[in-house]
Amino acid sequence: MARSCRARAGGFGTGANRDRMSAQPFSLRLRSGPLTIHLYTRIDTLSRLLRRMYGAAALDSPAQFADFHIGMARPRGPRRWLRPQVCFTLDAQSPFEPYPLEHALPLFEWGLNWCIGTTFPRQLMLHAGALEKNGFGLLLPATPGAGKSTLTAALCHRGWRLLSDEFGIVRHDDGQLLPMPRAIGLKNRSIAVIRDFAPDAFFGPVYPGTRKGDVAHLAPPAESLARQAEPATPRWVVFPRYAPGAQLQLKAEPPSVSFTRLANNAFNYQISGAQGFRTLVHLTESAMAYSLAYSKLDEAVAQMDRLAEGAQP
Amino acid sequence: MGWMRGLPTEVRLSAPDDLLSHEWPDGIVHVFHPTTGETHLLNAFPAAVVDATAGRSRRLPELVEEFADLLDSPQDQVRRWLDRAVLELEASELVRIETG
Repeated sequence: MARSCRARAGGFGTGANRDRMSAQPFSLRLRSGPLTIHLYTRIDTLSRLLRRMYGAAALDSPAQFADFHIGMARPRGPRRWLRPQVCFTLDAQSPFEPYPLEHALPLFEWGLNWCIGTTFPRQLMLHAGALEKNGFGLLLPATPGAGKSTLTAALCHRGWRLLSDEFGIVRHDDGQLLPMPRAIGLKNRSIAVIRDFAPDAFFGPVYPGTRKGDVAHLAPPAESLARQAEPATPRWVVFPRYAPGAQLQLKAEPPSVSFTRLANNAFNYQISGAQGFRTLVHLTESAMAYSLAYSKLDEAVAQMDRLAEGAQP
Repeated sequence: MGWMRGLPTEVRLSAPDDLLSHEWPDGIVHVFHPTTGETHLLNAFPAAVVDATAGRSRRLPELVEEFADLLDSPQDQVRRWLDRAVLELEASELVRIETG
């Protein structure tokens, strides 16, 4: 746990700071699938970016119950002005060390992922991209670096509805995939790849030299935000593996392998207990599982489209 | 490690009927441990035990490599996991070991 960061969402910036401080705090309640997030900040660039990224998911009622109350603010003390920083707070507590002020958006996105991954155990949560086409859900469980986010970003700009690029949420009651569309974090070379792939998509700024390298955020498509109350029936589980020069290969995986790999890609499988075991068995039995090796994004997208074409409603 | 002791040449592992488990079409069984919340693979392990007792412990690196690829995990982590799981399965009242 990081040392306490006594931040407050107040105060004004000077001309020396790149991020202006707003006179009025920016407060946003937004729906992200089954969750409501309340964010408050005076950091002007952050509020403008979030308005652009998530405006369609904003909730009107200030009285709406929020699952997370998140503050993004500059700390007290010298770091308010000298190499300024930003603190992420959850219910007024700081779970992380401060970040450079110019990395406010990455900190917000990663911090919110942490909140969801550690404090939302109500459903089975897989580390996976999740998309939908024709009512059927596609899960892309993967370890970091496998190309999950890049493939998810590409698919949601080629006719697939984005459910999430990070959390494959499987509802225990009925096995449905629940949407939680958020900005897709892309790293390093993937940024240019997706810019070329989807030239009309909205990107936030590129943040060089973060803890994960160069990072940029692709806004979730408006349709994904508008339809985030619509679950999907899982039909395919595809374990992607990007490798330079790899030939496209889609290999069917037996259920015993799929179950094991899904359990290893779940944030909360073990604490879900017997319920998680049953949900994972149901998911494994319901969905066809494959491993996908690829190096060319167009080919991988076309292969996923062929899967969808073969699906019967 | 369990397979360094004098284990029988053939081992069959089975679980009590009231244990939460699921058998897949290929015969692999996943068993849910009610106390630890861990999930064990049953039928995958007899291959490891039989290989070791047949003196082919050199196959262990191959098994580790195979499981590491299967689970997308580092090999040293898989090695520790395999060692521990075999011992736990032997010591646990969840399974019976039948010799043949």
